[in-house]
Amino acid sequence: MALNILIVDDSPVMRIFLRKVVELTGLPVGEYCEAGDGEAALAALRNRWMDLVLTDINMPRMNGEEFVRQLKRDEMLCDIPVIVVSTDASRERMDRLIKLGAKGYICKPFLPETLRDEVEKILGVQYV
Amino acid sequence: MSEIELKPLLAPAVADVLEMMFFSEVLGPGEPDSNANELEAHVAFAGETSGKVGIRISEPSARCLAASFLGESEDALTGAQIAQVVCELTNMLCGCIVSRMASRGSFNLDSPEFIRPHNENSTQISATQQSFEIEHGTLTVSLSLSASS
Repeated sequence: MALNILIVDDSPVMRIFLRKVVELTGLPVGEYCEAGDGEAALAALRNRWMDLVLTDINMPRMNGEEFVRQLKRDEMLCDIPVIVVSTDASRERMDRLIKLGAKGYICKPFLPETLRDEVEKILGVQYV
Repeated sequence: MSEIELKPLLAPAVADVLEMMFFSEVLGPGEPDSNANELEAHVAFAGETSGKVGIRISEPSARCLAASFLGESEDALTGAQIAQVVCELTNMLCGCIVSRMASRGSFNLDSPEFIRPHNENSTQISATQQSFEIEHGTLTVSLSLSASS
C-alpha cells in the first residue's frame, strides 16, 4: 500500500530534502503533503488522511512538541504515527517527544536507511 | 571547556553532516578565506552549555552543496534557496556539535541566522575554528561558548 506522507518543517529547503530522502528509501509513496508549522499540519490532517507524519521541532506559531500534543488529543488523528526529525539529539528532548506520543525520533544527520528502518518498525511492515 | 577539548568536535561533525545530508565530503584541511564571495550563518544554542556555532563558506561551494541537498542543478537555484541551505547546514552542524558536547543534557537551538556578504554585523570569528577544503572552496566552522560554560 502506498503511503501518504505529511512533511512538517518551517524550512522550504528541508521539506524538499525530506521528500528526496523518502524517495531514496524506496518506500512506496502515494501522496506528499507539506506544512510549515504545527497549526498548518493539524489543518492539513483534518482535510486529508495521511499514513505518516515527519515533523521538525523548532517551528514558528506551533512547534513540534505542541503539534504532537494536540494531535494525540484529537480522537480523529491520534492514531497517525509521527516521526520527529530534528537536529536536537538531547536525550531529554527525545524522551519528552516519545512520552508525548511520537512513535520515532531521528536525529540529523541521518542516512536514508535509518528513515526506512524507522518507518518499517513503526508501521510493522517490511517493504520489498 | 578549552580549545583543546572543543576542536576535535568540529571535524567529525562536518564529515558526518556533509556525507549524510549533502552527499559530499571533506577533501582535506583548508585555510580560512576572507574572500568577498563567502556566505555566513550562525546558530546560537543554550542549555547545559551555551554559545554559538558559525560557518563561513565560499559561494561556489554553497551553491554546489545546495544543488546536492535539493537534487537540483546549480543553475536552477535561487539566492534564497542557497541562503536557506547554508542556514540548514549551520543548524545541522550546531546540533551535531552540541550533542557531542552535552549528549545527556538538554539544549535549545535558536533559528539559524544568515549573514549577507559585507554585512557590518558579520562575525569576526574569535572562537575555536577549523577550516576544511570542500568542493569548489572552503568551509570554516567556528564554535564559541558563553562565559558561564
